[in-house]
Amino acid sequence: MSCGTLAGAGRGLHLAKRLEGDIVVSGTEYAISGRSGWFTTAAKAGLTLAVAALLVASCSSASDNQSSSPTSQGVGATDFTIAPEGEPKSGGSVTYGLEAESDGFNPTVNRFAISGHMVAQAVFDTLAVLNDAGEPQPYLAESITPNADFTSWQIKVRSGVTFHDGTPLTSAAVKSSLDAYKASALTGSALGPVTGVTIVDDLTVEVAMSSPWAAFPSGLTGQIGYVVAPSMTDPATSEAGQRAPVGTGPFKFVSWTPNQSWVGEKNTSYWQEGLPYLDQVTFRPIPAVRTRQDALTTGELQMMHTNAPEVIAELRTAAQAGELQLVEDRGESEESFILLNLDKAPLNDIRVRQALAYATDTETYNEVINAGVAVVANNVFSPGTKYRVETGYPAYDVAKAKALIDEYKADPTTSGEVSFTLATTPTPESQRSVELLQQQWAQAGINVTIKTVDQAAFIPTALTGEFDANLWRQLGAPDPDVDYIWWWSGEGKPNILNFPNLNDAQIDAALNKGRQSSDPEVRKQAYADLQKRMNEVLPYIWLNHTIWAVAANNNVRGILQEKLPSGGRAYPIGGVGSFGGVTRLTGVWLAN
Amino acid sequence: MFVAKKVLQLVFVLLVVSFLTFLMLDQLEGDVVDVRCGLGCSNEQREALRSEFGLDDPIPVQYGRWLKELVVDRNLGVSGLNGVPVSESLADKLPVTLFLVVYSQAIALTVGLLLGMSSARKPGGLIDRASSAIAGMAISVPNYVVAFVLILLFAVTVPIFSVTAQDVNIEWLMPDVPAQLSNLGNNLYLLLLPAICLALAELAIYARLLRNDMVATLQEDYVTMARAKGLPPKQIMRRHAFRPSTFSLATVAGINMGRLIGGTIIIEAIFAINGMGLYVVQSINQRDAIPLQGAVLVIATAYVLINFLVDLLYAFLDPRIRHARAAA
Repeated sequence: MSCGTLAGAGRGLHLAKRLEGDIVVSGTEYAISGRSGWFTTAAKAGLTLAVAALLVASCSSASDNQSSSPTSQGVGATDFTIAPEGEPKSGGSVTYGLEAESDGFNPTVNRFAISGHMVAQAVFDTLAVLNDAGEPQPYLAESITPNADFTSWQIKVRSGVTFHDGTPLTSAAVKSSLDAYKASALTGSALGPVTGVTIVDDLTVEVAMSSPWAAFPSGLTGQIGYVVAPSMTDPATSEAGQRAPVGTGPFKFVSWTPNQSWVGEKNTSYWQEGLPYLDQVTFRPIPAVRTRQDALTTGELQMMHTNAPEVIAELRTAAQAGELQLVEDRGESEESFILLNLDKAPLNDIRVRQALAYATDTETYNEVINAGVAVVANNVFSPGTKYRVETGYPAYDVAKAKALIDEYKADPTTSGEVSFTLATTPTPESQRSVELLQQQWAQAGINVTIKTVDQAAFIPTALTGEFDANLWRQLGAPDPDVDYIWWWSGEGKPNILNFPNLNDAQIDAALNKGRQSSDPEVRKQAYADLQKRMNEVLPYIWLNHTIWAVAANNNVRGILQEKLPSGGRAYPIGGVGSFGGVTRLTGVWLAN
Repeated sequence: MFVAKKVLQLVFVLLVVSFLTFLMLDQLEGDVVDVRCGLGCSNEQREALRSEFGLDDPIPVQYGRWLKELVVDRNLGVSGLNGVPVSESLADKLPVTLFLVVYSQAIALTVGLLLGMSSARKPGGLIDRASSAIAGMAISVPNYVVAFVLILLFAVTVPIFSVTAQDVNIEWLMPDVPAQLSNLGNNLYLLLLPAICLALAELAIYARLLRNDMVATLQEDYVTMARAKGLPPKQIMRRHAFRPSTFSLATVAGINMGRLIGGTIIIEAIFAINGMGLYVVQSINQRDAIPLQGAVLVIATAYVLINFLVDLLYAFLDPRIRHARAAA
């Protein structure tokens, strides 16, 4: 059975689903299954489960074999987890290895990357979360309701919820959170159309918008969705809140020693009955990925996340051998790509951009740079995700690239030269990446100068437009509307976040259409138009979709099994705004 | 007089070093506001943050403000990135690094002295040649390679030690002695692998230095005299030859201690140790001037203090220095 193709995976999963409903979740999205330890589980659970486990086990190994031909990867998550037996047990603690430390944990002030969101998901709740179909569901909110034309939204929060400091969750707290996000330098742009928040009653606020925003609830699954305690937005105490966050989440803050550990204890009055199961969670930032991996092996960590391809490849082998559990995100995730500045010659010429796309051998790139683990990209959306359409993005063809470059050079209206600067940060991985691209592009007659810029100065080059081409990683949002701000021309006003300097009426129209409609078909069509137009404009040279993996010791259960209060399952990994690699520990428990 | 001179020297060194740090960080592209904002912030908001942090002032003005806060308010300031007081971060990190440095130097000196002395006893003998070979290897293998090998052998394959040393807990003032001792034991256990990694290259240098100096000392007339008097070789080595042979050793060990306080970055990264080295590197990467200044002050002070101690040690090692100072 082949699970590499979408159809194959779908068939396998549907078959398995009919045989054993409990272990397969949500049709084609992703599978939860036993892995090499399935035999004991199956023996206990009976023949039905055994057949299902076999089916899905063959699915897992099939998709693993695919690492050598990554273009045909399946969807959802590659999964080596031990199926839970019996009721979840309460108690115990989990130490989770993070890839980095955060500046602080006040979401209205501090910038969150993946590691920041991991901690925030423990101490806060977002108003909405994504379900396994990538649709936003009310979470801390009981309901999120629009008016007829989506210019006003009523958010009603659950009653009887208290923050960890004992203050009740009210509409006033929601308003002060949203107001703080709107006013914050870091998050204000994510609330673009919002003009004001008013209190309707004790539990309800009304959010007014300057223009229709149907996809607003998707935004509330990210950083701007965390509701923080009133003390966190009070100017007198918000500074302290960066170091001692107060939320409504499953774990209460206990202590934080930067670069050492963040400890949270079970919130015994959590609003989700019976949750969380763990008594304590500890987050440890261990940036050296090998050390993190070793610490998981020795049991110093119970869980960790990573996007380092070589390490994922090794973890996969260990998971297949039954030494640990591993979940790889195969859903929408960040893309690695070359960000082009459309205002700079020669990149302002479509022939040059097309030539770059033709000259890029993404398969080789993925083998050399990503150990074949990541998924080759030719679009902003990962294969198999619901908004993706095939766009006819240029496939690797040096001859075509050369022809385009020759045509450009012969054109009397151009400078007759194709040379520009390709910039990146000074890590060994980035250096290898740009050097490989420099070689590939040279074969088509493209002359690239490599420039290294420190991380601190690298992002500002994109903001100020002082770059030709940058090696970049971004655009991981499952809902394309969350990426609106990166593509929108500003329609007359400046938008510094539009890094490629797109100024395209068709892209703006598609973005607005997707933002202003709640009809799934209309939105799909809008984003299909967007992808096709992007392919004509070519602001990005795609390289690969990032794979995030979460690994765990064999006694951890419930890694992907979180049931949502609104019914159904949560999005497997990621789905927090535009970040992959984020899991909630709310439903995690320990066997034995 | 001697102490006063040293204090003046310390103040001068600190002023120069801290000003140069400010100047050099300013020369790098990007600033802490860029790091804090990331992909967020409009240009106006960036400018507002810059003026809030005083980053648009000229460097001498920024330096003066930091100096005034330090001297007048006795305050090391806060991080521009997250507002964490620098004194708090230093209180977390400095003890860990000091513990690691002292621990590794204790290992290096103990083993280095033993090896050096036994080599010097018979230059060209078996022990000498073996120790020379070992020293060559220890110096030429980088300590991060040693670190990965040690982790693989003694934490993963044979799980005796832990991979990470994040749990190190330095408490100077614990009420009861047994708790203090068990905490000390735990720290010694957690930091043994990183300490060995740091000690390895140093101990090789110490052994070779001591050996060479001692071989030279053993050629001195007064040693021949002692031998002629029929003193046992052990006594000659320990009482007559050892002390005068330790000058270079003391100097190098002193410099190493100072260097390691800010220089254990790679080992800290590999073992996830929350120490000074990583703090310095992070502050530079994040263009966070105030924490960097705090760290540099501490490291420079430690350097000067350790050199001061080495000077005192010279006087102890060689009575002539003591007498010369007394005469002056």
